[in-house]
Amino acid sequence: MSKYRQLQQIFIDRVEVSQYIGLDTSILFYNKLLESIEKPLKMILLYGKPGTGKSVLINKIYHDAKDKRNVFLVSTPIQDEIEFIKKLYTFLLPESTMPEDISYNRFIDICDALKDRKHITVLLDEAQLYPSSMMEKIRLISDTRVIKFVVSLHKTEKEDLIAKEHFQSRIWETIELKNGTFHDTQMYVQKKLIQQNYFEIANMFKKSSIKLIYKFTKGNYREINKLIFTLFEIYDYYEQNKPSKISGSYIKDKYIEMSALKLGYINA
Amino acid sequence: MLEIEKLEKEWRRYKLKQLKIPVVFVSVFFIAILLFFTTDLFVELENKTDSYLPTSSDKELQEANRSETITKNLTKSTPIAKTSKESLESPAASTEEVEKQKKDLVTSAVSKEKSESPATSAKKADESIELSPDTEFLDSFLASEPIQRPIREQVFQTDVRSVLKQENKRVAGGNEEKKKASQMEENEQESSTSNIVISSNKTNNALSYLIKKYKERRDPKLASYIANSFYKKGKYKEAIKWSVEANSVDPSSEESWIIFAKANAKIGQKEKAIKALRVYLNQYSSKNVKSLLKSLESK
Ligand SMILES: Nc1ncnc2c1ncn2[C@@H]1O[C@H](COP(=O)(O)OP(=O)(O)OP(=O)(O)O)[C@@H](O)[C@H]1O
Ligand SMILES: [Mg+2]
Repeated sequence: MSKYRQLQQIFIDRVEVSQYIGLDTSILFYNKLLESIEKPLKMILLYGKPGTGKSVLINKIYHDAKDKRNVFLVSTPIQDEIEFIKKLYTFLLPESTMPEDISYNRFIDICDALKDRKHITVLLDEAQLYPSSMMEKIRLISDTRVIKFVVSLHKTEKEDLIAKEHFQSRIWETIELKNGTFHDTQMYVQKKLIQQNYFEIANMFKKSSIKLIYKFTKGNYREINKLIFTLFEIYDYYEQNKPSKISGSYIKDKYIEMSALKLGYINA
Repeated sequence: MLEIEKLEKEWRRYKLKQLKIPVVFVSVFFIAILLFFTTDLFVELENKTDSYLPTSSDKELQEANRSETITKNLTKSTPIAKTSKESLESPAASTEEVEKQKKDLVTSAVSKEKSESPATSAKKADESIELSPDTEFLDSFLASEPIQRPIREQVFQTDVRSVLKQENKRVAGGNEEKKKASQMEENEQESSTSNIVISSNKTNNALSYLIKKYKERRDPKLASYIANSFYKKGKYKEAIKWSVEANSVDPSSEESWIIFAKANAKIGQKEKAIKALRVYLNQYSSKNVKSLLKSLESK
């Protein structure tokens, strides 16, 4: 694989704990979420626009806390109720054999029996995909205080949930993830490259390049990924066909703008 | 991989477009400045001719006969505008862009003038007549400037007055109902009500300012404060909305729960209010919430 093809791989959208980057804001959210997990809450809501790093954060928390704090992760929603309950059961009582007739009601009874003796935290990613009837049951389970849920979802869904059910039902802690700042954008791009030992490439992203990238992506990590992926695609083409065009020691604005054109951030 | 070549072409077009805009903008800006000075001059001229008129010379009389001062300005300024248009069109800029820039010109010109002259009307005039936008702008600019300001003030005054009247009626009615001694002098009443109007105007502004601030900062305390303000104004639905907002940022804030409950009780949702307070007390202990719950339950 050519050099730029390899570089492209770094910026593929992927939730990979080993590639987590501690950015100023992401560390802040990380600590905030850990703190919330310590509190006696029933539910914690993690929300934000797509691509702000919710899944990355939730996976990192899971990775770091699973051994010490009894934390479990459901990264893709389980649509079937029984399947979901079974999953929770294995989280809660991994050693005991599951009753044949396990059901939602049965599970609530089990939780009630375990009250004050057992506490686990379950992280639910992409929670906007759970049907509302399921969300209701999840909430009732959290009422037993045996399982605490961290629910991660897109912004609009959160607003709905809060408005409709908040006061009548549960107490939520909410954490909103936002796009990165200019500084975060810079750290993100450079640390990602350095992480894979591409020091000289990282050095090619000068402040002006980052400014342009930030302008086009507004600091949204998914958009940054897309833009740089495209950028290296263009670099790869020139390396194969007109190497003289990319001989400089820094990334040319032109190629960033071409990427932005291709992705439709700007129009000719 | 031909795609990249195509992309490069597209990029060149993009750059050209980007280049054009500053060129056009700079030239238009200069013209705007030029126009300004000339209009200022005309205004001065106008004043001078006015004062000279009684002891006028033949030339000045002739001019005065020919046209009003405004049309004079018009005719004088058209050549400038025309040349400006020509110079604009020469660097291959599309007329559309020129029109856009002209609009900018109008707004910037208007905003430069210290008075809040009617930018929108000038804009509209500009849009409707394509060929002589500059003169149009001058026309409305000069003609409306001295007239429109008083008009705006008048409108404002009548607004206040009508509000005052309504307020007076209300106050009078209230006095009758309560059968309090209503021997206050009208003037006194008026002045007191005008105070009310002004202060309520102020809080309205303050509230919208606070809402704007909240959108920037997302401070739950601010949201609670806004909720409380709405509650005090009797806007209970709004109060509920804002207490929910405050709570979504900080669920442990006792204040948001209290406003939520009180506002709900006000609109006849007592059950909802009591339920919310109980939920809160399940999680946190609070004297205030407890006493509110008691008073709601005993009602
Ligand atoms: N702290 C981080 N370290 C490394 N990569 C990150 C970080 N934050 C975000 N990213 C990158 O941004 C991409 C998008 O983040 P993520 O998938 O977590 O977004 P999301 O908020 O879950 O979006 P959605 O709402 O669509 O699920 C990830 O694939 C990852 O490459
Ligand atoms: Mg996600």
